[in-house]
Amino acid sequence: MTSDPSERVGFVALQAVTKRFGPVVANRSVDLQVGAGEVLALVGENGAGKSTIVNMLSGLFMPDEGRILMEGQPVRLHSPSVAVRAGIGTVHQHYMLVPTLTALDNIALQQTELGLGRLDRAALAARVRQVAADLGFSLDLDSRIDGLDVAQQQRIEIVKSMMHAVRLLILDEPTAVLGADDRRHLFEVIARLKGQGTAVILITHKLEDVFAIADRAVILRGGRVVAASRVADLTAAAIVAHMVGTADSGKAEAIATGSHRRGGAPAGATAVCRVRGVTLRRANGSVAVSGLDVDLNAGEILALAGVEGNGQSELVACLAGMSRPYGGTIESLGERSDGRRWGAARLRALGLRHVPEDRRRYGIVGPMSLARNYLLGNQDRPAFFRWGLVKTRRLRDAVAARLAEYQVVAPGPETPMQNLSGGNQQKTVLARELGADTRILLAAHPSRGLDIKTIRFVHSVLEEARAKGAAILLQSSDIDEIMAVADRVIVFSDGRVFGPAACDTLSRAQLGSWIAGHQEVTP
Amino acid sequence: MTRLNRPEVYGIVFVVALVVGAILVAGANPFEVARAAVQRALFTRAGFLEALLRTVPLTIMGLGIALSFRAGVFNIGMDGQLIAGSALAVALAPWLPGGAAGIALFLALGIAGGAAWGGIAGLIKARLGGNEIITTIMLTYVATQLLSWLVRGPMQEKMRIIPRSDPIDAALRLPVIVEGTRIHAGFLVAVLAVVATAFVVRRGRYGFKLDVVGQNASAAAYAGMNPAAIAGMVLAVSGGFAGLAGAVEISGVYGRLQEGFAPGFGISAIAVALVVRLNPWLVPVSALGFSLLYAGLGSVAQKALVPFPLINIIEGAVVFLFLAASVMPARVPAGAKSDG
Repeated sequence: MTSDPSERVGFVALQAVTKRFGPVVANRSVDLQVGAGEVLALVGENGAGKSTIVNMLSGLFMPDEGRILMEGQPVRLHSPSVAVRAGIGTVHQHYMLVPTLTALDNIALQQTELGLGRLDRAALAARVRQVAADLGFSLDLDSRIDGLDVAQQQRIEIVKSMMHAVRLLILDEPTAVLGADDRRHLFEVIARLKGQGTAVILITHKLEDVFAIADRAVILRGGRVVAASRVADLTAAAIVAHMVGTADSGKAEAIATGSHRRGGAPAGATAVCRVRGVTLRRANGSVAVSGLDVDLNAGEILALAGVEGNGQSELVACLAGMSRPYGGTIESLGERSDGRRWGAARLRALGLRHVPEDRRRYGIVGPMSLARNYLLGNQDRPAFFRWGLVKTRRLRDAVAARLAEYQVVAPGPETPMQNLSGGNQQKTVLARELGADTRILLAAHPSRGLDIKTIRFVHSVLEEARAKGAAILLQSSDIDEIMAVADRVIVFSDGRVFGPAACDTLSRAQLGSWIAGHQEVTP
Repeated sequence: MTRLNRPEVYGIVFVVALVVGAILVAGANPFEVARAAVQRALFTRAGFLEALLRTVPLTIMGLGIALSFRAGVFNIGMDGQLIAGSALAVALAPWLPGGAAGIALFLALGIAGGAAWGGIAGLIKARLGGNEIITTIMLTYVATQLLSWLVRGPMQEKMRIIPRSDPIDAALRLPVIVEGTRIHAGFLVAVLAVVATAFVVRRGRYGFKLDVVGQNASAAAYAGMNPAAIAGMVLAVSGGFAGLAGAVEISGVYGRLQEGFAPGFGISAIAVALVVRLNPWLVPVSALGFSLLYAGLGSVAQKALVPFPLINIIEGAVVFLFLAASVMPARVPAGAKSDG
């Protein structure tokens, strides 16, 4: 409850914290601290390690190395309830609300989890109203969550996290789904919390947010802290430069193969897929992109970039035939998205292949053998069937050959998919989806979570497919990857569409700015 | 190493204790009851043949359960589908030719009737997302009442004395294949069904689709399958198995439509399929095992060693024991791994 600078330093601190997931280092020796009454912005691209820090502070993960201090004392936040008791409140990017319950019941849900036992609704409602009033909210506690808009849901999440004595509030991408007015309201609340001496960590990818509300900013890239500074000493250009790094960074060097041709779509390119006036909606119904026009040409890699949740996944789902656009039309391989035959099965028959974003959910069936997983999406192709029965030996031989070609480390085609590491699962999916007859390849984050060697392999596979004339859409949020392999890039950012632009006429800083939605500069 | 502190073991001990206790309370000797059941089922010709006879419908229905459960679709209403298939076959029997073709058509009508009845639940599931557990159970009540009306009304025998239909033409009866027994050609139908189903499950495109839908419906949609349509269709397919079992029972054993001719087979078939983890090759083995159990307990009931409701309790307990035992080996590797 004070703004004395000596107490503001290091209320919560991370010291040399490292967190690994298998071969992937999510955070590498991260130091950061936030003082009481201070707003710290945590900035970085997707995969920079922001969420891992949030998850460690909210008790979901423990650091592998290093330690977390609160008021100078080391703490072990080994479960979310421990973190809550320590005074750390978290508002996750994806709200954890039960849509069919009322606002009050959702808040009550958390209370009973913490062992309150019997529920006194009236008393709880009074306390919730008190907390909400302190924050300057007026909430309708009796309306169901699914009848509220995202800004109202966010307020409930904030109130929920503030029901305990919160001394550090973490807001993970709070402005990602908010309109301008709601965003301003949120910042007023943050300012109020700050005035009450609460420490706030604000995870964001938007530079406006940083300059609007934060006192200090920590910029992450590749799991490391690359800059930590007072916001007053920073410029937008400096933040972007830190976020995207420079082309000679180690990683970019490691994944650039150096031999590929670049230069946009070749002259006289044939568009195999035309997107015209397409409107896409997010799962929550808000419009992500509208009036999108873009062509996907044979023999090119078109990168689809931007912070997640801006419609990229929705576009890929439409192109894959798993859904239809909310507005406009897609014409792909001779089929139209408003036609009766539009669907994944038809497009696959015409030569569409898809490396899905969420491999475990869509791309594989864990308990099934590699051979049977290879049939996924190929179940209507005559090559592996006779009279509706699998040609077992032919399938096994083909799969064994493909696994060898893609250097998949596995005992054999009969191994259950779930026994493989993530990288080998991904290679198996690529081996399945890339073939001589691939005309369009939708590759959604094909290298996410893989080690450098495998990433390089994935890129070489994509380039090979391009050389054979396939049209490739590469959904990626990794600037290094886009600059290394893509011919053209299109960026979705907060409802705006930047590009498509040829990668070799585009600077990294410009691409980074587009992704941050910061400035609109025509190439 | 097998650890004995697992919940399945506790469950088994608990259930055995309950059943033994119940038999003791009823004033009987549990060993005597067990001896009588085993004696009848395994060591008397009549008991064993009775069990073999019951194996046929249980096998066919167990296969249908295996298919639908593999797709993650829980067809609880095979009893209703069996009635629908039987009723349709008997209703149209007078117009069928004699001989092998007639029998084949009779069985096909059974399949069609069962598939149609299962298909109603399938349509509700595919189009409206209705839960198949509810719809198939409800449709069984409808079918049971319909049968009750049919055998007292439009399909009742000409004498109008007993609630049952007139016998079907002798030319439509499945011939006895073992002289001096009631073992009929339906046995061969069951063998054929096992082989066909096993091939479809192990190697067939259709079996592959069912497995994908059952294990990861999102992946099925990604691969261009229509999970809702496949789930709806499998209800019709497994209903067809139930209808086939009904037609085989009528053509092979009863010769006419009557009430309660396959009591609770649809539920027994679930146990039959689950015990062997939906593996079609093993379904007949499991069906024989359950049939032996029913034959043995039936004789215990006849001899009035224990009150009749206790028989049902013992049946349920044995099903439970088998299911618990079939879960155990699956969990051993995981347990062994965690032990180090």
